[in-house]
Amino acid sequence: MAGISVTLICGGAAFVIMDPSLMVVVICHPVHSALYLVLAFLGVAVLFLQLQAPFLAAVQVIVYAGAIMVLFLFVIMLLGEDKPLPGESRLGLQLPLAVVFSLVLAAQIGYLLIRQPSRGASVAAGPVTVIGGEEVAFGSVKALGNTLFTQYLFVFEATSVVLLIAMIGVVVLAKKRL
Amino acid sequence: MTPQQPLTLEQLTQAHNLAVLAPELSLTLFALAVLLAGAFFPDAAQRRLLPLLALCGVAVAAAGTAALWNKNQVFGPPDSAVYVADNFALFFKWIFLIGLGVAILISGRFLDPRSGDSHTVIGEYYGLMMLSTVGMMFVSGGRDLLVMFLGIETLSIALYVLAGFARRRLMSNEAALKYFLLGAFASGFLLYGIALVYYAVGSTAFPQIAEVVAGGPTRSPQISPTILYLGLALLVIGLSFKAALVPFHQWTPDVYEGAPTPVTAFMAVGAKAAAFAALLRVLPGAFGAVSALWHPILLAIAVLTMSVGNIVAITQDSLKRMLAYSSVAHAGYLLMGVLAAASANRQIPPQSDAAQNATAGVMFYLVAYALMNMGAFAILVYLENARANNAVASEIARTGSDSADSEDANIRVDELNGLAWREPLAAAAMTVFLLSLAGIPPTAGFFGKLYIFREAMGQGLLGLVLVGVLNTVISVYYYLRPVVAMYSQPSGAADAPLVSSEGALGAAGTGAAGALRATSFSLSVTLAIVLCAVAVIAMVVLQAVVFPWAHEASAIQASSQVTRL
Repeated sequence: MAGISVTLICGGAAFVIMDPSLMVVVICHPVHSALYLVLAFLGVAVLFLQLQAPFLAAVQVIVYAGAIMVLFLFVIMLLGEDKPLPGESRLGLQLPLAVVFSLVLAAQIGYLLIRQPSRGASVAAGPVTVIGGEEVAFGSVKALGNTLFTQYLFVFEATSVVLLIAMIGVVVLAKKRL
Repeated sequence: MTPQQPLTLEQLTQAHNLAVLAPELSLTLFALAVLLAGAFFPDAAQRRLLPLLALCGVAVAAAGTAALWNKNQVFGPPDSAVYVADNFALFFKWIFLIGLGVAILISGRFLDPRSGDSHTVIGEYYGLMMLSTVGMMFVSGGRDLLVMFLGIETLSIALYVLAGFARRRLMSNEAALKYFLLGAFASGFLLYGIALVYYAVGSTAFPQIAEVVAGGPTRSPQISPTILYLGLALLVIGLSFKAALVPFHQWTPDVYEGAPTPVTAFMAVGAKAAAFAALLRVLPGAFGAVSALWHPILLAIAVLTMSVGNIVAITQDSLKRMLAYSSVAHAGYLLMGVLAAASANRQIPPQSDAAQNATAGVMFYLVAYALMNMGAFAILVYLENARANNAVASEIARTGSDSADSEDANIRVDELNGLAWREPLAAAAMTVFLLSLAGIPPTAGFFGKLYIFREAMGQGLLGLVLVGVLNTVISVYYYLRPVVAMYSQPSGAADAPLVSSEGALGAAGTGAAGALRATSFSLSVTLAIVLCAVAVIAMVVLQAVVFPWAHEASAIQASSQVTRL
């Protein structure tokens, strides 16, 4: 039973990644393309969850689907999206719906805050990593931090060089007047 | 998987000894200094100061590399470190630094604002070149697929930008775009391959991969070996792209031709050496146990690479394009050495000494290749400078304006006609480099080929050696074509230096103005040419020193993998 549901989730997530990824490339409208990319990121987050890496899943949603894609959209719109700006009237039904959904979300968060699931339950459920004699859940913040800052410290630091190069490169190639 | 050792903070700090990263750190710091200096100093000062600062960085990094020689240290906990400074890595770092140093020397004219290209971004130019070299160093020292991937990305992204550095030249833009799109595609292959290998093996570290592959070949019987092989195939495709092996070489001529010539020289040497460092670590190293599987495929790739590279090079008229195809062909010879190393490992018991010899052959060849290729490109830069000066001079004579747009066209072989009479030294140096590239005796290139062919022969790769020798014969034709052109009598009208279409005006304007403008920058270009030429010839004697170094460097890598197997 569990196996079937796992396969279903995995397949579903894979579909949710593949389909929008294709749309990102195929669709002409840059804003739609970016929104499809958000969907693909959410699919990846589901895969992370399924691999028992809740922290990575959260980071995926918050950083990629959230922050980075918002920046993308800003840039796309700044670069002159030809569509007319949506006026107040065009929001129509979306405004009340947005309020309703926000309220539902707030209620869910409140419910979870009040209910406070018992700590440790999730640790016992998944595979564990032993750090300093203490068992922590695989994919937890602690396990991730431990891997990142011990074994892969070099990789972590070296990434900064790549980011620096990318930043310089963009300025050099794209700035109108140097 | 290794069990997670609980390490205290002190142990961790001790394990992560920054001194191991001396070459990378010093080069990065100097790159940052160059970038900052580029932001604060006026243009004229930058043009003098920044190359010097960059060369200081090269010198410090080289010294740091020398200080680490034979220490065999690792960065991180000893048994799970992903980054090592073994002699193998250090030897490659020297190759990268040779490439970087010469590239800096020959870059001066290209950054001259009067050449109409790149104003005020001199700092970024040198900075990116140095950071790209840091990426190459990451590749050479990585003992983990992740580090290797990161290093390849670091060097590639910087090269994409550098290829498009001449922002106002369409060919340069095209080169950057082409290189970026295809390179990103290849990175996708590489990453997908790494993911599949990780799934099949359960680790991305080379020692663990070697262990599991030798025993398994996957971490559990439920996981089909096909997944591992698929991952390996994708990995090889990704690396082949970076090394420009046929059939993944199509980007090479266009990118080499479009990129500014100093950048072309830099990437032809550095990126190729880095790709071969990765290939040596991955193929005979981590995947040595399943070499029966990939050996025939790479054999075919080697034959194709040599043949296609050499045969297509014959038909090229542009010198730069010819050198691009020649670099493809050289990748084929190098791959022959990799295959010889793998064959030696495959024998039971593994012939570690033969594998070392073959690996050392590849490394020595890369040194020779770096010197002769950098030299040939330096000559190209020299000729381009001369032509641009002439063009500017004639432009001034004609219209009084100072804009040189004639740099678009690359130098053709027939433009070299009679060069030996106008520029006897440049012609002589070019002859040395071309003879060395062809592998004709008293040069570095000859010994490079000799070592690789000898090791391949020793491993019974007779057919491959035969193809290699045949290809060398073919290559002599197109390498000698420019030589013949240079030493043939100039034919009347072609007397106008390099640009024959210019006619009398160009020839008239050349004398005074051309001599004036060629001053300070061509000094460094000349220095680069002389250094390379001397090194290429001196290698006849020096190979007795350098090859043992390479052998020492390959020993660490080979012995560690032999114990793993």
